[in-house]
Amino acid sequence: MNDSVWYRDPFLIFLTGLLALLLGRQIFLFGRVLLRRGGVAECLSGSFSLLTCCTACCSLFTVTPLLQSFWLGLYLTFLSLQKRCAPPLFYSVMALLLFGLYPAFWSVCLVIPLLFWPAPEGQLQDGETGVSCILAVGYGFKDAAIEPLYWFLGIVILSLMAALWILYKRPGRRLFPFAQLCALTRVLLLVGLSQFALRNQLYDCMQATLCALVLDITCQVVSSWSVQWRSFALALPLLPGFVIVWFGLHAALSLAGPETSWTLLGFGLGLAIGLLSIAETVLVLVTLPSVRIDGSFMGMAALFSCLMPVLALSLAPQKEGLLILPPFQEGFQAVFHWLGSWLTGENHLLFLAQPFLWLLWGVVWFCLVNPRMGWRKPALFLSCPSFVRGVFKNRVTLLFRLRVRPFDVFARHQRLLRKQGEGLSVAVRQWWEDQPEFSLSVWLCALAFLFLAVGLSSR
Amino acid sequence: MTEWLSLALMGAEMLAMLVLMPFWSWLVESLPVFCSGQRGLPFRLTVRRAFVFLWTVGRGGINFKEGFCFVFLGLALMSLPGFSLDAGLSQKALTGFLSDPLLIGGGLLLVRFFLVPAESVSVSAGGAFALLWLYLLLLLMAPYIHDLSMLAGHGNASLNGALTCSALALMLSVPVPVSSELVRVPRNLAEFDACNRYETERKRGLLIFFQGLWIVFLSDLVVLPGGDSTGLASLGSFLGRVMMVIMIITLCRLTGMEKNLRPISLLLGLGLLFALAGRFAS
Repeated sequence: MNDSVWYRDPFLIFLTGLLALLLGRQIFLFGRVLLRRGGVAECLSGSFSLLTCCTACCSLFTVTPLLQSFWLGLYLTFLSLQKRCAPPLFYSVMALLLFGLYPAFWSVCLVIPLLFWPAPEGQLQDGETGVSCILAVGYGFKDAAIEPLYWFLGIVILSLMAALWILYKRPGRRLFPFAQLCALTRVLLLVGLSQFALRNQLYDCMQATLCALVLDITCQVVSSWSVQWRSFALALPLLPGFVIVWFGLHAALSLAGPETSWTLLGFGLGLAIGLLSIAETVLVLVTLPSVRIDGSFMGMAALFSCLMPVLALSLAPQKEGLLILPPFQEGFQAVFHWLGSWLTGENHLLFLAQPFLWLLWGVVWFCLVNPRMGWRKPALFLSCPSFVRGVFKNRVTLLFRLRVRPFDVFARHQRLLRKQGEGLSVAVRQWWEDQPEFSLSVWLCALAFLFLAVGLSSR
Repeated sequence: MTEWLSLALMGAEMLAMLVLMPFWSWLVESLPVFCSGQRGLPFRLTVRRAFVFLWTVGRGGINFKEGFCFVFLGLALMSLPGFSLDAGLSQKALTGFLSDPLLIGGGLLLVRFFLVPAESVSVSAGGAFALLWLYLLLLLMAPYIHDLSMLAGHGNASLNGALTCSALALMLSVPVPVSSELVRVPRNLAEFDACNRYETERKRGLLIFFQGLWIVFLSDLVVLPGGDSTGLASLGSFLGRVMMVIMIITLCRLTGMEKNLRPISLLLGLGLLFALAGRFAS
């Protein structure tokens, strides 16, 4: 990617927009502190968080690697002032120097631990993980583009080291760092996947990856705000976390599509993304104090998961033959193009899946779930239960008795069995317990039947 | 005119499935019981439960969780390619593009998570892993076809083998719940008082439809339907597939193979083997 036109890259502009969102939130919080006439410590921490956001924006905006590393150093300083813990000086100076002098995948891998340096109690910090995550994704997108395979390797090694570190710190019952680690690893893998697709000119893969990536990074940023926002990232259907897995799997496996040489890579990446999502879901479900899912939450989730893919699709390269991402002034045209294709259904109808699901959910919600809504409902809905009641007012009687004759023979047989004193399953269970292993012949019989079924069905 | 006719036929298909569901549910619940020499539930009771459930829903509404269950069950009912009366399965449904195994399976797993309270999360996580494996193999074999209704005519040996094996693994790792598993056994008086009898009855009714749709989902995966059969032939093959799945479930329950790691891992590995063989042979 040419450095002089980096600002025409819409994805980095999207990341900067996210940072601006965070900055606005920090300004809002700071203003509230000022209005409450907070103490010196509160004002200091508020201004530090403002400064972290500003310096992160600057380091994403900068083109020159040395300046970028300088802004990153300032960001790390303010971050450590805010968290009251700092990484060791020799490591941070070395990593920042190398990052400034040789921007490549390995120097980004050196910098990433600095961004997520654990607090003394062994937890990843909740408050500032969003900004660090945006920075890591931005650097990965800008500088680690040259070697996606080495980037995958570095990410895997880094996440294994982080997991070992958390284990070494004895987290006890605090499982949330593991969930954060899962999410972070998935984001960085998706960054590598997008770069891989861009290198090899796989546009479908690129689009799907950008969808997943935009949703995922937004979920990351948002999940540090409150418990309710955190449950957006659950990989359950209807929620945005599910869309991440969906698009991520499609991206990874469309890598395996055209050629057989990337089959195992695509399969492994898809497996990693899916497993990380499952693990994150389980960990978040276990650690959430209580999931409060109400109407406003569902509305936000609906907006989120329906609008974000459109944004992502407008960011992704179109099929007309652009290798680099479309420049900014063409972004609006791309939005209109994608809206049109969505409405007319030129592409996969799968893009309709999410809005349709939310529509279904809304219908069920308004008709069945909450009959006591605050506003008057139209007469159609009111008449529905009365209609059913009118049908069922008289007892529904069948014209024939539902006693099926052949089962009497069966019942006689059963009576015989019961008279003998033991059922079939007891004997089978006994046999099962007697066998130390499920023996080879049984396996072979099962296999033979399986092959037979497959052969018959594919005839 | 023909569009209205095909829409009416779609409605007839869904209605037929709905009518058949209590029967399948009764088979799944009481065939193992019959085979082990005890008397199971009478069929009348299952039918009555289903009717009473629909009646209760019409009268008094449902709560939030059951609303979720309704969404996913309705989605599965609308989009799964069971059988089709007028056209081939590939042009079957209006909403056929939603019959993505990850979406439908994930929704049904969520419903199951709501229905069975006294089970570990790890069972659901294992089911999610089997589902993920199935979806990965499906994407590996047919990269640009992801819904079952489009997949209907395109089966070949390796795709069928991979889908069969991983669907059987899914069936073993997340066994179908029966109505005795719906209620957690109360351990103290507070838990006993917290049990809501009306909610449990509604859950029982919901369970009937869940069992039916889970069986339809499995039967579409275990044996991929042919794309071109219509009418009575399609209905007959569909019923045959469903009966086969019910027989397999009964057999697995009687021999105690459910939630057993060894056959599950064997089936998953075999599915991968099928997929890789087909991939590198072509």
